[in-house]
Amino acid sequence: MTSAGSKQLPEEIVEFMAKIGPRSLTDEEARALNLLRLKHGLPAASAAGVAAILADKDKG
Amino acid sequence: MAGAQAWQQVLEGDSIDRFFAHFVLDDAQRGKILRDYPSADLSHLPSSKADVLKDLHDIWQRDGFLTPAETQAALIEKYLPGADERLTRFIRDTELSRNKPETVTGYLSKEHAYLATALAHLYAQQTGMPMTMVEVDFSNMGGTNDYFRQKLASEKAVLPLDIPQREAEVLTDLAVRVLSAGMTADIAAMYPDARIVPIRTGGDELRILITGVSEPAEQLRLSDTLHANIEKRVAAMGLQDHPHLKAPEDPRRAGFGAALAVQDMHQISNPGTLIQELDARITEMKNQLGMMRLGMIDREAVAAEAEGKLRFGLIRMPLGLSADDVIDLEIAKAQKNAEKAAHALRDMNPEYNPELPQGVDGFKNYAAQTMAQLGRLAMAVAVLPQILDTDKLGGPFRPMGIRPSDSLERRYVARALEHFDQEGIALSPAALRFLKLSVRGLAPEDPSAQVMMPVGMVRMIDNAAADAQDFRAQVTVHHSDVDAALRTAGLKSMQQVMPQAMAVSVHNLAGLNSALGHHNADIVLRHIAHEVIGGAIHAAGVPRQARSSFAIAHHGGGNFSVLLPAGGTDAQGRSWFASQALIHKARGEIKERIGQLNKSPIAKFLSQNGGYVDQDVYQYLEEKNLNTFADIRDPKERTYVFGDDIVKGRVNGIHAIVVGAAVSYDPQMPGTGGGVFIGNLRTRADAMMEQYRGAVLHQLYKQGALDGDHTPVRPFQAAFNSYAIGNHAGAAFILGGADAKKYVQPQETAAADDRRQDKPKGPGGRA
Repeated sequence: MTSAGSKQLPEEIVEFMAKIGPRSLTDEEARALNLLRLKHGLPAASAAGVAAILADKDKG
Repeated sequence: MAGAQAWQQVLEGDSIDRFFAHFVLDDAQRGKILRDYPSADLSHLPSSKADVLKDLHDIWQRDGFLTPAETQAALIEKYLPGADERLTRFIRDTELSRNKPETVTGYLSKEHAYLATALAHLYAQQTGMPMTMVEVDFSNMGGTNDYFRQKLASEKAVLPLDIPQREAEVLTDLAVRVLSAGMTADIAAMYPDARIVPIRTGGDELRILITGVSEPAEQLRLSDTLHANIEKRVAAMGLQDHPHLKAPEDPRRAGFGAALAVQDMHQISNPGTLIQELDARITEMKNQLGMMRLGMIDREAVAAEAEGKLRFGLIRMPLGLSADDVIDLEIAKAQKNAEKAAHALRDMNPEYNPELPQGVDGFKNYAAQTMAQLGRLAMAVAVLPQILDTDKLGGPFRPMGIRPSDSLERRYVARALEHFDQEGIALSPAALRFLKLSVRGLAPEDPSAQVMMPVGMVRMIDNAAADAQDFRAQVTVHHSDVDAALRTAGLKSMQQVMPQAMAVSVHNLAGLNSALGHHNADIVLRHIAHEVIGGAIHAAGVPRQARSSFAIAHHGGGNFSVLLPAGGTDAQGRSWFASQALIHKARGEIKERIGQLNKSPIAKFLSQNGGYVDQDVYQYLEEKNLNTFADIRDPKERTYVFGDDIVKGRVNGIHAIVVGAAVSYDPQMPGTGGGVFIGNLRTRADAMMEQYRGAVLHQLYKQGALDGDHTPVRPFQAAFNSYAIGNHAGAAFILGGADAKKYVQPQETAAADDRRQDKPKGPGGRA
């Protein structure tokens, strides 16, 4: 298992990108890639942390 | 290290190869210098790119990561030990003047984009030090222009059409500036010791390089903080809700904004596809931020994030709870936070909160206050040496020894050499080499197309206009060589000899990017610039010669401009003159070459031209039926109305429209100048391209050749039109339609035609 702190990308993600080739990803592929990264604990698109910061501001 | 192949594992590695090559003095070059200057000391100059890399490594150890201009300045300083202090200061100031911020964002301009990226990746690989790249994409700038136009119209009680587009664009630019300055200020606040190098890489794209942020948790914190602050600033500017230009029905895409992806530069597995991957992450982030503004969450993404955090121990599993329970709790928490966030953002938004300053003035006040609070990112910028601080290098200001057909680079170099001659400062061979290298940077190159940036073209057009009279005066009239050249150019007298300009609009660069990725699309873009356009001009009769005979600039996307000086001589001293006939020939050559490109197999083309092609790419091209460039799909479905016909479709393949004009204006007159001139020409080319696309689809529609998904079943061959601009830049008239035989318009009828035909016609003369 590749850890979140590892400098090696998980094999699953490397394979995913290799299969796509050099082109731009479709919206569906962008979503699938993002979910993969999130599941591997890698920096990825997530608004949850953003919302948490904004919600915290709301409190103050 | 030999050749660009050596840098394949570096992002934008070929720019490293070109950069290093500037410094290397090979055996042949050494021999030549030593023949001319036997006592020259060349021992400290690098013999190979590996030597340059070693020297760069030393500079990084001493100074840390630097911008491209600072890097070049540091290397030159190293290679000119003991040089006259006035020379080293001149070079250093010339280099650091290139750190001057781009006017809208305050970031470095696009000319630095690829080299800065490549240097950052190389720095990470060579030093092992933290280096992070933040890729940023703005959302809905077009829709935001429309929003401001309507807002201004409503406040002034006029129709939106009565508001000049530029007036609205200035406000969008201000919003862009607030977010751009905000991001660098936020990063500087979080990482006060980091070096931050921000670059505007495109119209709506930014890249920020940071020497720091090494752990994933830190990267997440950076990403969340930047996004949260972007959202707050967008809300405070009242820009959350207006419709998206391309998706007006989707509330998740409404409003202005920016999303970003944070990338550790030690974790790049494939430089050839990284940008596509980051674009995909940004797309996904935009969707999620759009939902958050509405108080919604993407449950699947929240669950995946919670799963990842549990897996790597970033959140704890309380006793008695299962992983599913924890994920459900995270989803509930995220939903609650999203609702609160949406509420908080609306409170900050003058559109919802009447207590906040309202209207365009309220927006401007907020922007001014925010900019004052944020301050500026410290960037080492020097003032350009006074002698070089001018656009005027033509006509009476042309430096000694410069011909009217000479390039902008050569003009700046000549001006610098004049200065050192006047100051009595002797230049060694090495000093001369590096002075030239440094000064040439004042005619910057667009890194994607590897031709001039638009700013250089504007200066060149002004210089060409100023030089034309001198050029005509220098030519010996009625010399047999001159007469023959005039006949070849289709001109009757020297008075008709004028510089000529072209705007070339190439369709489907977006399709190329989408299908092949940005790296391979750049390879095609360079081919279009150098082989299709440049090659066509040579084939039309402009000789290949050591001294530049024409200039090409890339204006972004598929937009190019070309300047032909009034004329010159070939290697044998024979004259040639620019003319509409020459432009027409070049146009025909471009048509031919675009046709050839459409017939070229994509994989073969890319592998022969240094593209990124491996087994996966071959397989992908085969699966998608991407055989030749004619198969490149237009990403946009277009709609046109022709009387009762509503035509929808995509214009696949690569197409080009060429618009030509004589450069003929008085640079002293108000409202004229290279910028206005080339702007008008480009506007014409864009309008022609839009008409052309409509005509293509209409013809296919009438032939019943639009298939089920409205995609042309075969590529349409390009048609070409040409305009000439009359005695002032504002007026245009048509010279010929797609198949027009008559293309040379006598100058004396220009004004009359100008009045008669003030509207452009489409291909085949269609109004």
